[in-house]
Amino acid sequence: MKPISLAVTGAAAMAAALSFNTGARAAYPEKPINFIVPFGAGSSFGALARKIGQYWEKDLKVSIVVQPLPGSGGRRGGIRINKSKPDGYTIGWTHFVPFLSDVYLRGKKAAVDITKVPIIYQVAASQFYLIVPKKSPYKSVADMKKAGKSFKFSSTGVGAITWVQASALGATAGFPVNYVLGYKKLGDAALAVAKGDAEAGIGGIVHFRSVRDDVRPIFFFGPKRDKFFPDVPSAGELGYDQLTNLGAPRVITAPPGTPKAYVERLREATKKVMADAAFQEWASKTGFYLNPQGPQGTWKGLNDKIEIFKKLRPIVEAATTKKTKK
Amino acid sequence: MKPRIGGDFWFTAFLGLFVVLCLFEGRNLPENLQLATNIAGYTTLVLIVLLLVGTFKPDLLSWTEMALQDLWGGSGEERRPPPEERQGPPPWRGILKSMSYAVGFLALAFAFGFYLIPPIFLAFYLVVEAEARPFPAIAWGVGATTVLTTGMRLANVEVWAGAIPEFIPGYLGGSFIPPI
Amino acid sequence: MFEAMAMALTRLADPTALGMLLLGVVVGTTFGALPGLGSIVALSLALPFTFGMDPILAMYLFAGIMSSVTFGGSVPAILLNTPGTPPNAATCFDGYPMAQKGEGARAVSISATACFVGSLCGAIVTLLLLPVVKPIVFAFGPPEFFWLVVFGLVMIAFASRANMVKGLVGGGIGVMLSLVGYSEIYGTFRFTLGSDYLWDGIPLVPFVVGLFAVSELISYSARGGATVARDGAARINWRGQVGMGIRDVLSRPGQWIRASAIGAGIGIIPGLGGGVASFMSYFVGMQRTKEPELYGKGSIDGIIASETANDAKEGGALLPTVAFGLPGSPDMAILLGAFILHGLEPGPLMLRDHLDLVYALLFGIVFSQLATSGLGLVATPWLARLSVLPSRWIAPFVLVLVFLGTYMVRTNIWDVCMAVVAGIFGYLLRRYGFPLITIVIGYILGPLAEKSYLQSMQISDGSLMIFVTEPISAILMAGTIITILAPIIAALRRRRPGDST
Repeated sequence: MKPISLAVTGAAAMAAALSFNTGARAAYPEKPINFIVPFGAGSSFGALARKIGQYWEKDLKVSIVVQPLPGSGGRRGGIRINKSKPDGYTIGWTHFVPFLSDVYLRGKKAAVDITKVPIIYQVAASQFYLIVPKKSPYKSVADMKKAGKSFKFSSTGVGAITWVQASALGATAGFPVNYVLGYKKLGDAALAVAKGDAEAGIGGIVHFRSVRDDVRPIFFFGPKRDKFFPDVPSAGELGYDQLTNLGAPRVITAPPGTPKAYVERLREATKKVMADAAFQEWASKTGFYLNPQGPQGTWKGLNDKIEIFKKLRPIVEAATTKKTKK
Repeated sequence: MKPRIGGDFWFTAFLGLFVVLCLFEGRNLPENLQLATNIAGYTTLVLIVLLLVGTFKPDLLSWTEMALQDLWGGSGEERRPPPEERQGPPPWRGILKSMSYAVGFLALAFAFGFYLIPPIFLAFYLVVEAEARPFPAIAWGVGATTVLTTGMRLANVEVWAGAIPEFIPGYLGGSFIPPI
Repeated sequence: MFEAMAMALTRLADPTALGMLLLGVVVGTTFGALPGLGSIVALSLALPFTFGMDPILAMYLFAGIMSSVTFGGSVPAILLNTPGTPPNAATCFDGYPMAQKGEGARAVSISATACFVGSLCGAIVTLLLLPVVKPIVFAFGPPEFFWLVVFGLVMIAFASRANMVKGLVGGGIGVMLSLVGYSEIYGTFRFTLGSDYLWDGIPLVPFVVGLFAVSELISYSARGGATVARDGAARINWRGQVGMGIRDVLSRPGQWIRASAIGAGIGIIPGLGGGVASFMSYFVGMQRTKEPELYGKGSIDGIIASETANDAKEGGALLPTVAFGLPGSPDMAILLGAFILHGLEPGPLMLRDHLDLVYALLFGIVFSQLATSGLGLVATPWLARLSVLPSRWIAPFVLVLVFLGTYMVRTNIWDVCMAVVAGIFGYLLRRYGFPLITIVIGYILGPLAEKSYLQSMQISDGSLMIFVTEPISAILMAGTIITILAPIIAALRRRRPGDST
């Protein structure tokens, strides 16, 4: 009987251990979750995080603490998320674009190895417009191509998402592009277009709606036309398919090493939010383009971007190293 | 008059060294980015050299100072010594002690966090420097720290628990150290 | 318009609204007075709590915080030479010498009154300019910005008039320090020594707080004693000083009208930031005062200049925020975030559909400033007694506050290290006679000058003509050149009487 009793004891112990284990898992989350936002207080990423947090609080029964952590073009927050303890209590938006541009546009080592980032869920992807000053003679991308000149775009900085989009648009549509850079926010860059400091710019509705009387959107970086400006042609219909996936994805991620069950739990919670009609209505009214994707879909989008970044690298090298005395 | 090479001279030289290093490092930047470095750098460097030379040739320095004062110095007021000079600066011994307190507090707080070190620092300082009695000093230290850290927690700010490995979760050790 | 105003005023009579305002005032004054913490931290911490609140109540809370922070920050600046927030640094120069003379209560009272006057004038400017804000904002592009900033940099010479060579060296060092960091325009790093921390440059709050507060703590604790000599303290009539402070401000309308205009004007231009308003006003005040010899030694005009402008800029900054969704100051950026969270859309539509909210904010700012200044004046006689407490009791507590405060801004422990390093550096600068003020001006304005220059060159494809062809740009340039040349011409005239230069 001895071996059997031993086996029984062992099995019981294992069962106990397992149940303890699952018990611990089932208890997640048991304390407030920090949601890191890599932009300053009041950013659109922050607003989206707070909204999602409200829904999570009801579902997960713990409070969600949104922590803005701006700096280094969104990298500082990403670093914090990905180097935090993988206990499921620190998560956030990893802003992939700057890390991608570090590696693929500049050939540097990024501070975060993005291939190892556990993706919880992609919530939205920004969809931007090409805008020109209201009194600009160029009313379409075709006009700009026909002009046979280079166009000055306002943007935040070399390698920023709107910089990438402008470069890619110029390369695809066939007109040279140069820049007025250093605007702190996309809203400021849109104002530069409205005032005529730049001939064109790129931004979302949230960025240019405050100057909408003075700018004209003439091109939409999406597969289909947008409901806000149904008269503006989309990249998809003009045959610029490679431009349709350039928006910055808004992806919730966890630190590498976070238990799969926790990631799964948060993913389920996010999926529920995305399915909520009130949430969808809020997002659409506020100007967010919901684009729910699991890890696979998110990765597909990121890989497409990597390809485009690789193609743009020579342009960046020219911009950052050339002696720029004009 | 024998020139006096004191702290003033060495500190000015240190500032000069900093500017020279910046100018040197700046040569690798794109041309337009060198502009600000060069304008600010070379102007500052000339003035620093003037200050250094002025240690040996005080006439040259005071002549320049007078000329500049004449132009932009406003209402022709007399040279006004900074407050430190008026009272005579405190002796270095006291200064070094104050600096050591600040650096020591920083080093300990870095390692052991804001829950543990501030009350100890406050109590220690009050007893040793302000000659307070131990019990009230400790009470003040603990009280002040409790109020402050509670305020931080209420505002959902993570209190720095120290760089040492986690000892008491959330209170001692295991804080996230940002990359430097 | 009047209907919207009336509506905003009726809302203000609601006890909940008043409660919100007062809560904001308490939070704002406290955060202002704690070195390192300022309105940005206070507003971002308050933001999540306004969730689900009636938007107008949330606006009152924000108004309360925004308007009270500056007064809160001036109190330690005056009594302990430790600015509560970076813009209060300009108040140290005259406030602290007054406190040393035993006139701490008078100085705090001047600050409280000046803050209220500034806030009121700022609101009036906002009301008047609301219809014409668009042409103003559109008129200021990079070239205009450039000249405005260059004008500010020229002020370094005036600021360092007591010790010109060292002052200019300080300005240069400030500019060099400000160049550290990543340049978005060229996508390159400058002087970051391969450090991640320096990517965004040397951070403002730890740098300024370290430079002023930590360096002061070092010499203050080593010097011993108190701000005011103890033996004289018994004879001080703190209460009487409060009334004197109020009269000081009211009897100098020229000073505060000018300071309000400068503050509101700088507030309107997005991107210039709070420190610029108080410093610029301080220097212009220095040029225009009747008692220039008192500046920097406890001049009443000096405190009025910096604190009035500091508060008037809030009203100014509100303009582009509500009219364009372009924040005129970092505080406003957070306010903007609050608008979005509450489903409000700043811009032309907000002026049309939610004018009552705009007025609510404006009135809120004025009323909470009234509350702040009123409570401040009542508390002044007690607050001022801080200046007679021995430094050995105060110093350790202030140091703890500085540590926790600088840490809280970005929850980054290296910021605390930066504050200590800046403090030791600042002490050496003080000791060897380099004025801290010029370093801060160089540090704040240097990068603004560079960026607006580079942007202008990108706009003009490298032609320098852009700096002279635009009318406003040309006027600003002429003003700057006259400011530099006028003293030279005057000097030449003095030298050669009879010569018709």
